[in-house]
Amino acid sequence: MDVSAPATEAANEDVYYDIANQRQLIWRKFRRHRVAVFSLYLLVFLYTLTIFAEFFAPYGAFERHSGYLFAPPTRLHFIDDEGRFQLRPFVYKVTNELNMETFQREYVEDRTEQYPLSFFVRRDPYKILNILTTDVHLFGVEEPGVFFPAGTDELGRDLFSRMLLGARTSLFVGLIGLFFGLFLGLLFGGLSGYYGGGVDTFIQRLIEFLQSLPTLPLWMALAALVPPTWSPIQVYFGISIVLAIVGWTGLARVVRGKLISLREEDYVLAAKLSGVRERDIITRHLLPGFTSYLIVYLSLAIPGMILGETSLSFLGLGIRAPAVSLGTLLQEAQNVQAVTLNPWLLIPGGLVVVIVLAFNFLGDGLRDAADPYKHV
Amino acid sequence: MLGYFLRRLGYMVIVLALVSVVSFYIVNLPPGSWIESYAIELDNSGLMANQAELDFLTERYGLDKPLHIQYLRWIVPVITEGDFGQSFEWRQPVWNLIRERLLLTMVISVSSIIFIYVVSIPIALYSATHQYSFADYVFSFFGLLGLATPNFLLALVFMVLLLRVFGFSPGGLFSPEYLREPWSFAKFVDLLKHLPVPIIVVGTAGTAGLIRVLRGLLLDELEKQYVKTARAKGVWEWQLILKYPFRMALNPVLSTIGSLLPAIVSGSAIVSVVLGLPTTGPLLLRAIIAQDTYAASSMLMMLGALTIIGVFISDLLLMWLDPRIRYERSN
Amino acid sequence: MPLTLINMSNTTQPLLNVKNLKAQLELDEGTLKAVDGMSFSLDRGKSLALVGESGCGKSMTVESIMRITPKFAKITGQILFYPKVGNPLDLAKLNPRGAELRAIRGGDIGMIFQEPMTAFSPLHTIGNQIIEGVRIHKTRDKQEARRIAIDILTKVGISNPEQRVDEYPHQLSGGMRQRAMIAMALACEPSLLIADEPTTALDVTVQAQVLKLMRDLQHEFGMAILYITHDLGVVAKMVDEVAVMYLGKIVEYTDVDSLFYNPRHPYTQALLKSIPKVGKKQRGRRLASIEGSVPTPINRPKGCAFFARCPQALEGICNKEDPPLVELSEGHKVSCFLYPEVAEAVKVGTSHPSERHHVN
Repeated sequence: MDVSAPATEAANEDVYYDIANQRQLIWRKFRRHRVAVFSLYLLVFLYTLTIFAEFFAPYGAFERHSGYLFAPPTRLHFIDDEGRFQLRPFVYKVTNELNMETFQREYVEDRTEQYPLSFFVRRDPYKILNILTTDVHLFGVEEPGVFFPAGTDELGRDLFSRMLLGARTSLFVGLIGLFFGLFLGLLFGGLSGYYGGGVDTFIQRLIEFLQSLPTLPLWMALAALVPPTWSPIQVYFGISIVLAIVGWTGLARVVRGKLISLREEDYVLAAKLSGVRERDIITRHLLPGFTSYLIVYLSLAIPGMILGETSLSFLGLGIRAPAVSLGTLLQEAQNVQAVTLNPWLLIPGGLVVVIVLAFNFLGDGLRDAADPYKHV
Repeated sequence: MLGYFLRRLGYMVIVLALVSVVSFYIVNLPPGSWIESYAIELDNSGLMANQAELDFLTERYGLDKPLHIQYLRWIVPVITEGDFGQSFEWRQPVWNLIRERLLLTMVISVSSIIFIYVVSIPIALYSATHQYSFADYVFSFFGLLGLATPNFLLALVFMVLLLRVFGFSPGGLFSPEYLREPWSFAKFVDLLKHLPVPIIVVGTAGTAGLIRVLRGLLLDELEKQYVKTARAKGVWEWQLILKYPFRMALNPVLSTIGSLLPAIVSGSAIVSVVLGLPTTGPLLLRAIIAQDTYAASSMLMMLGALTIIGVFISDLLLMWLDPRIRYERSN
Repeated sequence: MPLTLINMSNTTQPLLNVKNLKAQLELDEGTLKAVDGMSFSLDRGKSLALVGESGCGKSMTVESIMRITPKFAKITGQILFYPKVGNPLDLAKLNPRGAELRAIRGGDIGMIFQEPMTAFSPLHTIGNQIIEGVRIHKTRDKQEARRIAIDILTKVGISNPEQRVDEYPHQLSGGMRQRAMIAMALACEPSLLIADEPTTALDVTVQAQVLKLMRDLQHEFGMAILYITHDLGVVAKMVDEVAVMYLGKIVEYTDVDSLFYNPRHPYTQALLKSIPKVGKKQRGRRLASIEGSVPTPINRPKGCAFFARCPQALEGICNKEDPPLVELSEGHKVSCFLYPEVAEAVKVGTSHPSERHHVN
């Protein structure tokens, strides 16, 4: 009995899907996975936010507000002291005083002065995408009011602005690392699956060997290879390559496994028998067969890369100051005393978790969708 | 059977040899060396570098020779005398430096693995037998959260919470009074008191991952025909689940030690840095930064060896547990 | 080993009486009526076959009797079982995980599954899996249980049973494994043996051996057998009565002779036409096959389930009302509007009770 239900369902959907192509099929199936769709939008949103980080950031990432060291996140108000609702949110002036008992700086709101939040304010100039110079920021408050959505660090730098910039680094190091990893994985996986025999055995042993090593110590040792004299951009690529050197093995296995199983598929044999050239078999039959798997695997591999970068930077072996990444921001939170007193320093960590979760959900959704004929 | 064991053992020895080569080369690849930076440091501080000392070190370790000679000069005493060379920075034999830390790394790794199994197996059993129940969703959610949280972040959060809520700092593995003491029962008890936080932090990601894997495996196994057969025999449901599907799912779980162990060792390294644990992690980090060649290569190699031997043991365990694998391999 | 001698007497004694059994699965797509109002009975020492294409609800029926259906399946109706000792029990009312039902499963009712490959756990020895049941139902003593296991392995014709008992399933051939499976089901001397496609997965030569073995054992143990099969050859050789199933319902219920010589339901007729006949001149003629395939039992419209595939379907009659199962002659029940008795039964409303009352 248990066989008939899915079978007939599949039959029904075949009729329904008759005219849809592979991509449409995947997309339809994917849309049913609501968490995955939400994650996709969230990631698109985050990438947009970080690409135009300077526009969305109220302050410069290196701008110090000397009067506001370790300031907590500024509260945004909609209702003023008289209980009136204001459509335009505002902040109160923030002043700090030294608590004579704990010797800690304490920030209090000075309720006499309001600064409304304004949009498209003109402040310090920057370049969009390194091309267009402008000085418009999405939001800000008028001086001498301050607005730190996520508080400030020990040097009085706006954590929110730094986080946007740091997230850009972390998100793209993951992508670039993935790109290198993809190259290595396709190369070795392809060689392994295509030639088989001795080449295959050798590469499989190599992969087993690499996978049996503890990743982080290996990363640490490799990251030390990045010379201290390199510029931030070079370090950036260096770290991506380090992540890729350790991370390609899983992909190579996927590619090899898929290639081998595809080689056995009937339609490939059919193509061979009807005299299709080998190159055409690979590009027209084999590659489309596994691009979907590739995308799934990649979306699940990115979080690993991002976690790798954050961990390395956290240890001081990855991205180096003055460049900012989510890892370096957390490195500043390494001092437990400081974090305990100023817990907002952990907010970048929350962002890491959100990003990694989103990629995982996206990957799960894609995996389910990649096989439209499989009914779970 | 014995043939398989010997083959597997031989393979392990080759891999260990490879690990030593890789460890040594990676550590030696960056330009510069500890000796160079030492000389520069001495120069900068106005002191004349002790040329005789530098010459002695260069001579002894063959630092002016090609890398493969240096490797041989390091690895041969490791094998023949168990001498891992000298740590430049700490000015003492590497083995003295890492002996205790290696032991503590193993203690933390092994107890984390035990923690992972003890926590995730009951949860996975419950989740699989109560699929789509409220608790199943709750466990799944926390599982994903555990997977997505980097180890060091979890360690930080733990420290902050403990400090804020209980006013106690969970750093280190020993109370200050036992730090320099020789091993005693009291020191051991003290160690036990300090272990839970690092174990929980190191084990969380592994626990989350294992729950996910084991739950999926159990769900597959519960559908199998032999479960129905056992039910048709009148076997009590829980006895049945433990005897059949659970036993079946346990084998692939055991073989995950192969991927779990490297992850645990990685995790404990970074957690140790945050929590200030006297394991190999923080020392390795310093040795790598300071280009303390022998200390860094030795630790890298030992961590690799730890996982490779662990995988070897889990492989043998698997063979002992699964008659099919035993059958296949003895033929 | 005490032999049950009940079947030696001439009076028939009831063993199993199933009334209006339904098994429904709630799926996202709707309610799947896997078993839709089955009624049949089986006397001690007799044999009955449930026949039908795959997906018709045969396996679900017997799994419902054993109460080993998936958790989300809803079982309604009555399953009266008469154990060796004590009062008859309604299996449908018992807790599927409870002690009462567990005592019957594997004890009074044994079951053979169609896939001897997967029906054994690969991690435990054959002996371990036979002894497990024996220790639940017959004896707590390990040594005795082992002896019983070896005895029964000998009975099912496994050579060298002392050695086989400690072997793993993968060390046995398919035929041997099915024999071990039968041994496992018979180890506790059940009064009812349920055989779910016992020979489908076997080679033809082995099939014959296994069937002969089962017939011999039925005589020796005096048990009743409920066969599930799609193989009419098995039916002809092995059983007293046959219930032909289509989409969770019995469409024809009769003794084995009438089935082959006087099939009444168009579906039964079609089934019989689709098997090759030995001796008849067949050259140049194709075997008949049934058009279309079994429809989904999800949200099925009213009317005869076979309507869409039936060559003799009556538009406006067969697709308007469910045909009830009506006795046409002594012991021969059919549910088809081609017979005036059936149409009459609908009008008068004296149809088979199972088709009318919805016990939910």
